[in-house]
Amino acid sequence: MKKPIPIKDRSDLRAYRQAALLGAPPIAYLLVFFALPILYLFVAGLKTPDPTAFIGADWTFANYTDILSDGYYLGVIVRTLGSGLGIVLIALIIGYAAAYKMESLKPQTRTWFLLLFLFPLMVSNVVRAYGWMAILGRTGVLNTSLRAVGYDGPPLRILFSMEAVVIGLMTILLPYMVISVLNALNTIDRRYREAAASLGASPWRTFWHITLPLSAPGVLTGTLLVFLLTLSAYITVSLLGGPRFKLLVSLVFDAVQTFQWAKASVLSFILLALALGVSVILILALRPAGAGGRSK
Amino acid sequence: MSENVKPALSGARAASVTLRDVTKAYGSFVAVHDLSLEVPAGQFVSLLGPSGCGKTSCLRLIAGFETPTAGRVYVRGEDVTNVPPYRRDLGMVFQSYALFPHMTVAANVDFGLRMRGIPKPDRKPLVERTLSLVKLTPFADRYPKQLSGGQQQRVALARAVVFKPGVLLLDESLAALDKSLREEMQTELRNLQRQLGITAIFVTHDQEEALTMSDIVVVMNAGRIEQKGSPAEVYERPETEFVARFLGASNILNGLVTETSATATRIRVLDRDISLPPCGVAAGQRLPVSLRPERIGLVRSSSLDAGAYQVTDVVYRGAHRQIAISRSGEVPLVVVSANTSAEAEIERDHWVKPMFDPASVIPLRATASKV
Amino acid sequence: MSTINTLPSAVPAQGQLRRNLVAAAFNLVLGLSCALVLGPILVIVFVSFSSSENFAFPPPALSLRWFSQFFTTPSLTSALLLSMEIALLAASAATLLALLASMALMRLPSPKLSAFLQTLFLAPLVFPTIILGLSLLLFYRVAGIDLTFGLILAHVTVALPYAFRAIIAELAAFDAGLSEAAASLGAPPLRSLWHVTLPLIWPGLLSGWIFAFVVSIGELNTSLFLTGPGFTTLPIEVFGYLQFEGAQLVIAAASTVQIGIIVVLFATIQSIRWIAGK
Repeated sequence: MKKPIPIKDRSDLRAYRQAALLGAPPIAYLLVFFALPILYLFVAGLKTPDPTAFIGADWTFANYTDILSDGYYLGVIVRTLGSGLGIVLIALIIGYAAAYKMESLKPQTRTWFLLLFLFPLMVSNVVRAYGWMAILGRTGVLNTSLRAVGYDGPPLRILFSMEAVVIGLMTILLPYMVISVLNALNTIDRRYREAAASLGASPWRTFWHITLPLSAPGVLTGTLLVFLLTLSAYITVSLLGGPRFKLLVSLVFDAVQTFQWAKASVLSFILLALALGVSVILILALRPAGAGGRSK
Repeated sequence: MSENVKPALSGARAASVTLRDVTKAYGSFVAVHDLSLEVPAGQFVSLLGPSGCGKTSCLRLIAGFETPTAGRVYVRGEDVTNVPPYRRDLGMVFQSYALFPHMTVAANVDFGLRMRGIPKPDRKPLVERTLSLVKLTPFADRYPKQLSGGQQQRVALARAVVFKPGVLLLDESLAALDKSLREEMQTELRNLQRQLGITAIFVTHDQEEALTMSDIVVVMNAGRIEQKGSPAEVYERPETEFVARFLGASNILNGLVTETSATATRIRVLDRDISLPPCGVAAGQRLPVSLRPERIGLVRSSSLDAGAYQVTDVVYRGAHRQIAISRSGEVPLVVVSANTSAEAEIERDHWVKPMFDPASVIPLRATASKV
Repeated sequence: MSTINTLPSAVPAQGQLRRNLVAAAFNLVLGLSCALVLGPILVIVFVSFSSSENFAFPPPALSLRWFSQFFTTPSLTSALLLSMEIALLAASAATLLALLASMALMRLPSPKLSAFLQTLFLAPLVFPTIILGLSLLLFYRVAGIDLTFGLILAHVTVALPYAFRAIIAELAAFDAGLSEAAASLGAPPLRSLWHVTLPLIWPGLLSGWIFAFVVSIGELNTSLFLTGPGFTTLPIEVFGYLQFEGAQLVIAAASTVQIGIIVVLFATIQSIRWIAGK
């Protein structure tokens, strides 16, 4: 009815210009030193391997079909998925219980526990894996302690096994789960639980119908973080699993050591596909029920 | 940016502000609608309206925090539409004061002078003089969070005027204070503005505040100006239904136009025939009119009188009483009368008749857009 | 009346016992979690003070011999030094980039674009770093970029999201009205940043920097590919020892030195939080 009004006006343009100016260096940096190299690696996997160059000349899918039709690699993929999901499940059960307990503590005490879980995250994983070597090794803390309490069988051989990798990775990543779940529990209004209790729900039913569904976002964050981090934990896997225990990430590393770039690329992107696939499934499964109608 | 800003606390260098055909849209929401406004130098002008009426947007357009979607903004006759806020010659007092929490009171006040590149020895006396002007000299070395709300308000004011800007912008600046402090600050602010000879543009949703403080009141609604005039004008002679309602509870009555001529419109309202200036409404049509509650007197009547009203409610309000009267099938009428007047003995359920001077009946335009 | 009440009525003694058991179980899980998470670190710190030649638990006696050996082994001290240098540079660059990124996001009027860019800046956080390291190695080789410089860049990428998270949280809490106030008082954008914004957001900047530093100093997965003989960070050197030369106790000392650095930085972050929260 009146003069048409342009959709974007000049204050917006000014803001966009400022944002572009400020954002250009970090965006450019991430494009050049993050996105571009990954894209390049992807291309390398789609070229015929060439021992004289990093990247071959001809396009091909053979690198993928070779690996995906090889039983050995499929076995490693299954083992990677299986150990990853196993670690996630154990971490979820233990981490949820720990976070649930922490949530009921006095704020001061809770903060101290939170710091106890935060601190190890800052310590390098190689040191934490070393700690498990020292505990699980043949003359390690565990065997020494067993001997001290009268056990005189052969020493337990836990180190260099799948069990060691699961124990080590699970405990290294456990704080992520605890912190994610605790964050979610903290945001749940206490009154919901009090309301449920006043309506006659037992503590267990209150937990099952109120607390657990409302903490789903924290569970999602925690499981995603833990699973994704199990996939690239080369050093932990190599130190605790020993030279013969291989997960996908070990194969990637081995391929690089032998300069098989195309193979390394293919294994990397299979790893990424696993990460993406499991993430999508987890997100769909754990999306809070009420969020279905909410726009993004 | 320091070229044209000379620090001097005295000497009138107030600037005029003009908005010409200004429109401001946020996406599809139009906050300010093709608005033109002239603020003469040295005047105290209030932008008054309910929240969302566009008054704060106008202020931010003048300050330069927003650029108009269309139209121009002038300060002292110069087009400043594309001049960034830090090069406009104005001081601003924010709603939440926006005092820098990491600086002392003195440093806050000093900030504007520092940004203008004034040498330190020249700044110090200016800061001291301004602080004494707002009676904060003993608090110079405190931090904002150590001050009361009223004191913070004064720091914000001192900070905005120390570099002697041509215009002072105030965004709901008194809203956070409690009632008595607010009234005290109203007077203080007005005195300071006169003393400094500065142009002030004051945004408020409080009609009493606007009427008390301003030379000119601009009543805004839905991004447009409803009426602009002296406080007496907008209060006594509201032009639209919106203004009449927003400036204090008024009786809005439907007059029936009985006769129109080139020189007058005759209407019938509250059983009386009244002559108004011509207003272009045809005979037989309804014309909204305003009648202020305090312009109505009451006389005792009886139930036998066919035109009498019955008192439905009497509310004691200290200096005056608010009396509601009604007659079957009509909108209740509100009357305000002093407790010392003859109406003081009127009580609930009494029968009364309203009396009023025909000159108090103000014809209204329908509001441009209803909210 | 009693027919309406179908809620299970509490049997005092039995219910009490069960509640106690449940509470004990939760306490146990929390205690166990802490032990599992902290235990390995404490074991390493403990044995690094051992006086014995080989790993023994508990150590027969305490001594500092492994620390003195650590500080007199050139390959280890140079690795520590390199780690510190890289962390210093990478953390500073990451903080600067994160500050720019955060300020850009705060100014963007479009929430959708802003959310997208936020995802971009946080992406390296969840991206498998081992693949990033591999990509960078290939990229540096092909583009002819020096690996020393390349290693720093890799650490910047990995540390960037940590700095970004700390800084954007601080900026989001920053009152934009203060910037407007500064502008209305005549401060151009850069002076407003220097005099108003930076003095108020420093806790976020500093903790962002420390996070970035900590991430860089413990970084393994990209460094794995980008280091080489004579040019190694401390974690990679420790990894090499553990893998090929067995767990010598000098490595426990090296780990304890790292842990000590982290403790200091961690305490610094917590005291910043405490000061800023006051």
